[in-house]
Amino acid sequence: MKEFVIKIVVFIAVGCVAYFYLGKGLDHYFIGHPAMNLDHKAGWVFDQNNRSLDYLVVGSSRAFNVVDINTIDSKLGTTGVNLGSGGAGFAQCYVLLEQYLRKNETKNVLLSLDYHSFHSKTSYSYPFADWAFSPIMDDDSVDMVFKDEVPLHKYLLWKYVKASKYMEFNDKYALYKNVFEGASKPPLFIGFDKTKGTSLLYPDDDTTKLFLNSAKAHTSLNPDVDDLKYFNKIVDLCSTKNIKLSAYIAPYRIELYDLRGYEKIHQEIKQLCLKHRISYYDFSNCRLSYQAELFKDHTHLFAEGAILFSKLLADTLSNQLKK
Amino acid sequence: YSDIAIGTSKIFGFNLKRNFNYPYFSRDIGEFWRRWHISLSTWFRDYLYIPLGGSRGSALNKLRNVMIIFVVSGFWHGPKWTFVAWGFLNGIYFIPLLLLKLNRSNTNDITAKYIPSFRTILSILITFALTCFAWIFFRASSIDQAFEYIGEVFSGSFLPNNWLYFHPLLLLQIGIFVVVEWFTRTKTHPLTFKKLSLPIRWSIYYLVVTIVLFSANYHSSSDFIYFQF
Repeated sequence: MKEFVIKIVVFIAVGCVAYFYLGKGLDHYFIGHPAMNLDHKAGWVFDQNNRSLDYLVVGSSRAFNVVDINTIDSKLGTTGVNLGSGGAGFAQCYVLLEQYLRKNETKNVLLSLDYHSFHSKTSYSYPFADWAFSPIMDDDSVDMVFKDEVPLHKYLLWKYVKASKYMEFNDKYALYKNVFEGASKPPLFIGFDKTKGTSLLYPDDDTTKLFLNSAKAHTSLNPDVDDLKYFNKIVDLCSTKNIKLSAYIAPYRIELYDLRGYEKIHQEIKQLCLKHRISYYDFSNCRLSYQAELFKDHTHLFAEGAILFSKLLADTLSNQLKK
Repeated sequence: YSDIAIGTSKIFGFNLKRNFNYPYFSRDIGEFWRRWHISLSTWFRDYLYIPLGGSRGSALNKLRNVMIIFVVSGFWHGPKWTFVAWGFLNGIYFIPLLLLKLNRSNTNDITAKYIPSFRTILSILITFALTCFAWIFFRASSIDQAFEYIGEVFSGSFLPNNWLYFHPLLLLQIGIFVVVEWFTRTKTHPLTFKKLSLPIRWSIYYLVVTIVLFSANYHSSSDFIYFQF
């Protein structure tokens, strides 16, 4: 029995060492093949380089689905990219922005803000898409995000038994697809090349559904510690790179979103932006908010509404973006 | 699951009997039931079949005893008509062998070293097809669903809509499993490599463990089928 236990311990130890190096090899492979990250925008973001932009849009689906870059660019003659991703908390926004700015430049960052941006862990089902950033986990800034956003046991397992990331997410990192189907740019990325990262929503989508506001009146913003940390990191990053940071709150569908509970919170967000010298634009209760047919649900505009909002955003920010 | 029990017991010095003896290489249903779930089938033989009279008596008695065993073994899996149907179907498969006295015609292992004869291959495939057909009833949630599934299988649209299940990687994995099990069919367990050196044995173990770890589904929950038993 003792001999058996020793054998098992040695077997596991040797396996861990082997999986460490296997994981390093896979990290290297997937960093070199961002197109393998088929299912998430991060792969498309990492594939961009040597671009000099007028602005970047950063945030959750309230950026990703609601700000149409092509509309703004055709109106203002600017060059922009939408780095927004669905359900993303500030941590993910920070990672995407930080990684993008290593190989690209921008003069402006437009950051989407909401009450739930500061409560990502309770508001979103998957605020940090850990699997999408697994290959770059060794990077210091990404490692910090993993440490904050992922349970400790998983963080340690993924850090020291590197191949375990790819075991857990074997459906996302399907090497066999590359072997049998060949590596090619996925349709998702080709789409993003055309829309510059935006994904508009259309009424015939099967996922159209209505959410009723919880009608819970929040008395204070009371931000989550990690969300505030990464909000501040975004601010610091822009400051360090001499990028003008602006923040906006996209329109809500008024009949479904009881803004009475959020007035104080929007004031707090405004004060937070003023404190960090961030230009702040509150469109939560604009004219679009009263046109129910423009909305998919209480917080997301359909394509038509997104285009109208993007024109409004372009008009509001034209002087700034055209500089 | 039997391998887990056998392996775990071996760690503590207990040698349990093999429970599945490469049943899908069976050449007829009689051989299949001598190789499948051996502990259960021998229990039914000793405590139900033999007390009923076993293979003694008239042909009618033999048929009765066989059908009782198969229906009861179906019922043993749960109070569902699908299990009873599965057992009944296996009983029906067994009857021709019993009447023709061929139920013990394949009691020895297949002797072919590499590729068996065409007749053996055909027997194996037919037996496999029959057991898989019966499994439809075992796994269906109702008799209606079973017949619906059977209808789909024999409809013209089945294969074109299910090419996913014929993915090259899947076929390769199945092929590897079949080849490994074929060439190790006389051993207690396919991965018994006593004659190989430790580095080679451990390399094989690491390969198998790695394939399992990279193939597992970690994000959706589904109960182990035998928990219901």
